[in-house]
Amino acid sequence: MGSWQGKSNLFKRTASVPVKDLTLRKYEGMQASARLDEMLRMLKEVFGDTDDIAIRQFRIFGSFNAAAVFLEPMVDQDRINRDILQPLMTALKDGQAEQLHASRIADYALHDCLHAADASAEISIVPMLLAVTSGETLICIDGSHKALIVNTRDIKKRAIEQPQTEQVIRGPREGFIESLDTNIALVRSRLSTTDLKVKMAPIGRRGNTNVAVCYLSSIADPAIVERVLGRLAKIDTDAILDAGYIEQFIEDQPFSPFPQIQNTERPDKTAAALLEGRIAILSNGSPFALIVPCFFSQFYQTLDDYTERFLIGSLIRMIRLVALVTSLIFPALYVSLISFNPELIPTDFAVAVAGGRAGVPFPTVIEVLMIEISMEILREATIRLPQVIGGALSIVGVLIIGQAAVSAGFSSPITVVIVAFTTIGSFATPAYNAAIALRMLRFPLIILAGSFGLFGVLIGLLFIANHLLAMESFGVPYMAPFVPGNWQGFKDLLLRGPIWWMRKRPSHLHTLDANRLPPDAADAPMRRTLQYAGEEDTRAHE
Amino acid sequence: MPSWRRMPALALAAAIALPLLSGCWDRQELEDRALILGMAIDEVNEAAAGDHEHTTHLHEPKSLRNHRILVTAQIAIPGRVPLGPGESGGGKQGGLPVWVVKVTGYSIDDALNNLQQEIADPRSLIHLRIIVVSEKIARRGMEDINDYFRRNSEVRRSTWIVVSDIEANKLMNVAPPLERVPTLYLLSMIEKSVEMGKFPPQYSGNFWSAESRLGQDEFLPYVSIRQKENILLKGMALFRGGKMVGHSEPIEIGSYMAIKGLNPGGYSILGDVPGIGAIMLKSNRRIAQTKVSIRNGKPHAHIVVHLDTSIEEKIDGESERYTAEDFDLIRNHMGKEVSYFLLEFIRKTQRYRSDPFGFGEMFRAREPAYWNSVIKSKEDWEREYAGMTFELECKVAIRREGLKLN
Amino acid sequence: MSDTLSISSIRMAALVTSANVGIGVLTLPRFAAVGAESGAPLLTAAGILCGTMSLLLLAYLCSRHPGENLIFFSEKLVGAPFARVMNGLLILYFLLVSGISLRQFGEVVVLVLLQKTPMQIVECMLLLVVALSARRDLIKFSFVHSFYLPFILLPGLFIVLIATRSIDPNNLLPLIGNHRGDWPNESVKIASLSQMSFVFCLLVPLMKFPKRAASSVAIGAAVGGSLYLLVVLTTVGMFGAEETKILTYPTLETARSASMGVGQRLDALFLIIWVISIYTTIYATYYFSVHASRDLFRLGDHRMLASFYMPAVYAVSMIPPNIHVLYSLWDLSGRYGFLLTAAYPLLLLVMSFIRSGRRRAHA
Repeated sequence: MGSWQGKSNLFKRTASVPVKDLTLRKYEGMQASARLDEMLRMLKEVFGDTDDIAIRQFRIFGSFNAAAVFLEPMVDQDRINRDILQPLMTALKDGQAEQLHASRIADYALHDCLHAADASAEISIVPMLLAVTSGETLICIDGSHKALIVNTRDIKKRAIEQPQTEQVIRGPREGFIESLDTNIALVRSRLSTTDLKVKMAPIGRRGNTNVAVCYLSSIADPAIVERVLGRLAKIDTDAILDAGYIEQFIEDQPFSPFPQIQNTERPDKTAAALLEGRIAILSNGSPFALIVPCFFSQFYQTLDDYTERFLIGSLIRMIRLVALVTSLIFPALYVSLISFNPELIPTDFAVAVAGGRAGVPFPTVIEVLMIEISMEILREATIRLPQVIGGALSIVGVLIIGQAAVSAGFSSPITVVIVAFTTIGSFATPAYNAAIALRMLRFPLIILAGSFGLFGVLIGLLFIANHLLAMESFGVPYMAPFVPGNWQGFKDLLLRGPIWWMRKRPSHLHTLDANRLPPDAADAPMRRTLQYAGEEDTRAHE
Repeated sequence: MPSWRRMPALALAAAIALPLLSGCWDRQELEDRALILGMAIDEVNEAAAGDHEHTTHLHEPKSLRNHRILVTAQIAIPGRVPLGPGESGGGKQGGLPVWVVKVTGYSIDDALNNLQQEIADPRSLIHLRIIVVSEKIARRGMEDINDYFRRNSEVRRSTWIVVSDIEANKLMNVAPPLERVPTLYLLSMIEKSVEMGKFPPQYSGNFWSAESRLGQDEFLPYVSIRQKENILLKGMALFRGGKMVGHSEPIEIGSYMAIKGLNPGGYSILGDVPGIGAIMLKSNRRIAQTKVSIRNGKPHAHIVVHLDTSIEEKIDGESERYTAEDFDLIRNHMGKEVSYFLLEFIRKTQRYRSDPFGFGEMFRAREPAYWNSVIKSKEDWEREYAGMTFELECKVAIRREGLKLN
Repeated sequence: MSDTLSISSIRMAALVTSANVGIGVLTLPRFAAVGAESGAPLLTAAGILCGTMSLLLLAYLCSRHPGENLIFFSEKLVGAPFARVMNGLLILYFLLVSGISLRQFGEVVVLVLLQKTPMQIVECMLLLVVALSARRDLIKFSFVHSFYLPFILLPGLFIVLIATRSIDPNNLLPLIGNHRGDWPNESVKIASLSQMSFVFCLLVPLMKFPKRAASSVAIGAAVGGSLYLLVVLTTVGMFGAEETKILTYPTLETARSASMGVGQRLDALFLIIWVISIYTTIYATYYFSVHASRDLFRLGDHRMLASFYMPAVYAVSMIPPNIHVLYSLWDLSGRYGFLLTAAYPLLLLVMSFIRSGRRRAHA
């Protein structure tokens, strides 16, 4: 790719938006000065234009000049009063003041006086400036190169509630919120083990968004962890406003319609993924966690499958899979059967369908495309509307458009039924990004069906299947565990095996610890089944 | 051209060329096709027929003179056949929901080309379900008909070919109130006969397979009309050498099915049992075993037929409740009756020198030495069949006698 | 990382099966019936056995040389010039086979599915899919084959099972047919059908257990061969040998007729599995030519070749002017091709024994 990019002038971009923060570049590598007035002058220079900066000058222990610098909207002023100003502004006992030299006061204050849990000392200017911008308080002391940084950040968060995009019938009702600390807390509360490692780093030159990578060090494959961290380190952008930005930077195949990174709002799903050997990426300001690596089989699996019993989970999963497949190929099949291969429809039905289509002026392809596009527009419109209007509009819209179109002669009744069925099928797909992918792919399939009939549909499906088979997500084949085949993986692929039967973790993730359950985990349930109403039962009653 | 200018130029060229390459050659909407549901093939009355269109030829080919046929096609009219049950009242807006077109021609393909000259939509044989051939055509020979339909990739081998004793196009007009499309009524009548056990499943595929085989002769359903609205299944039309040579009675269809052991059983046998009266037995299940052998250089078959029957009706009520001996009496007597029926039918086919049962195939399979030396073509077997000897036993078992005990 | 860098025995067997099941599905019953009349199943079994033997030979040969594929170790065994010529012949043969298969595929699609579409377009579409997927590496190649195998086997078995209802045993007797046929020639033609999976010799070095190559190939060829056998059995059993001889595509008629009783239109299902099976077969033979050329000419990768061989295959597919010339061409190529694909590995195996014997003698 690099060769053609270098040669063609057309694609050279002029750097009109400098990515690096000029201010920080100016102060890079510099150390703080010991004189307070110089520090204050520098701070006024950097932050002077902002009106919400506050500089509170005071005296430490009654004798040393100092200033606390913070951004007013972001800090909790009570904490500054109580944890910083109060302990520091007390007078020392007689005799201690003379022993303290200005250069050592920063250490003394940090280790002996400050009642703050998250506090540190800094020498370089750039971390000091970054600390102020992220809501921490900077305390500059006259006569000391070191300045103290205390975490006083207080930003209002919303309450933890059930995530809107992933509703389950049975399962926890907690969802991630925008605050990274809370999210990590939610994950940690489910996996209270020392193996859970969280690696944090700020990403984005102007955003400095904290991004956390979580994994279980005794399970996750170190190679995959390396790969993830490496790709994250290469991200060089303005700001990460949502986890989706990270996803687009680190995915394997940006040009593929299928998502290679899963996203979820649920902490229990994240914890389950970590237990399988996957890696979770959380970012500040986004309630979505990214889970890598991702496979095609996750498109039709939900949490409900696992919290319910295995028979129920299996059957419902099959229905979802059928819905997924039909949402992809149903309209294309309809077009090809009506326009190209009507010999594949039973005679009675064929004659009747011909009757229904008699007045329609368009060929089937155009008709199906028109109705599909209107359905997509309708769907997009209902997202933007508030709930009150949106619910009524969707029902009314479908009825009116469908019925009116048929009466006006725009389309035949069967087309409306097929398109409605397809749309409902695509709603049944639990993963939103996958549902969009399949919705997108429906259109090329319809066009292929309209050009070549059943043969065109098959060729299109061959293209899609080959694309899926060749795709990899962070080094792991996308179609695992179907291909490469693995017996243990099949237990959770189409049907969901009983929970005491799925003993191993997914092998394609090359986990360090492959056994989830002990080898004899299946003994007790099977024994209970086979001895149903037998000896064991009567003993229990005694 | 510098490389950076080449890319958009290529993209433009591809964008222009793509619509030219894209398909839709075969797109033919369902409602734009003329779906021929059924066809009737008759002889042409030369005096009454008009001038023929010169669609496929300028001068009529000499070998096909006097070979003209009249093809009646039933084409489904979209829009007249309703989709749901609720509109059956308004469905038949003053007429049949099909369009009947008559054309003549020297062969099937010629006739269909003439048909295409007359109707707007392209004809489509994909849903051709039934072909009715008049007896005259069947006796004349069905070579060209068979050839056309076998070659055509649209026609399926599950189509029915039926021989009618009167003019075939009369059957195309039969439209009883039960069914919306006449052809489909005719079709459903035959299909349901197969389901009820009144006719073996002799689709055109089986017909053609039998025609190819050396040791079997083909046959077709033979139908007629009664009282203008009802279709009667009159028997089997027997063929020899590609031409029809005769037909059987309806009960002989049952004989055929009994000898072949085809199920479900649907025919009833009326017989006069001495001492008990006239009894009607209905066969429920048939099992047949045929053993073929060569005796004195001539083919011989030993057939044992088992029939599971139930008593349906007793006429001339004389006796009291049945005893086991009564049953034995009925069974033996009826067994002999049925053997007589079956043998009579076999002799009939031997007179016609047509072997619908496929005994020849059994000889080909189990006595290859005899077959390879004597039989070189189909006529050889037809000749040998006439001299074949048979031994037939029929065992009747009475399984049920209904809700009345005498 | 073993899954993505090596091929398991089951996947190898799946690859052999899905590559073998290809164009023969539609036309094999006719060839077998022409050859042996009602002895068609037996003839098919004989041919498949023949083909499997030669595949096993090749597999055993490859398992004796783990770490190198055929192109490389053949140069060591019989000398570079001769080996290069023979390998080049193999590459050309498989290009020819790809072209002929493509043409047969085009003929069927244009006859049955899309009557007015030019055959060139149909062939080009399939060729495009094949060429695009031929750019992938060997592991992805095996993924594709093992993915499509259930879609070929399960519907095929389903159709065969439904058709079993209408089989008449008399059609299948006598077991060796009524007239003496040319069994050796005919079975060689059928054996050449199973040579489509020759490409596995390039994959043996990547197997997890190369010593098991012979057994996985045996299983794969057996499964594919059984499917062929079942198809011939049901077709000849349903129609009889005489009718099968004059049907152009007997299996299509079987699928259409099998729907008479249960279900209506099974031939849609049949067409689906047939397109997929042809795709996997042409993919296998095309990929062999591309990948073997890469090894023969010591190139870096085969992606350019995957695009460049397309016109050659297309040209071959356009050579026969009608269907009779096509089938006689296939006849010829089958006979001589089988000679090539069977005798050459035999020669290599003999040389391999001789050399290892000499090595042992010297050691």
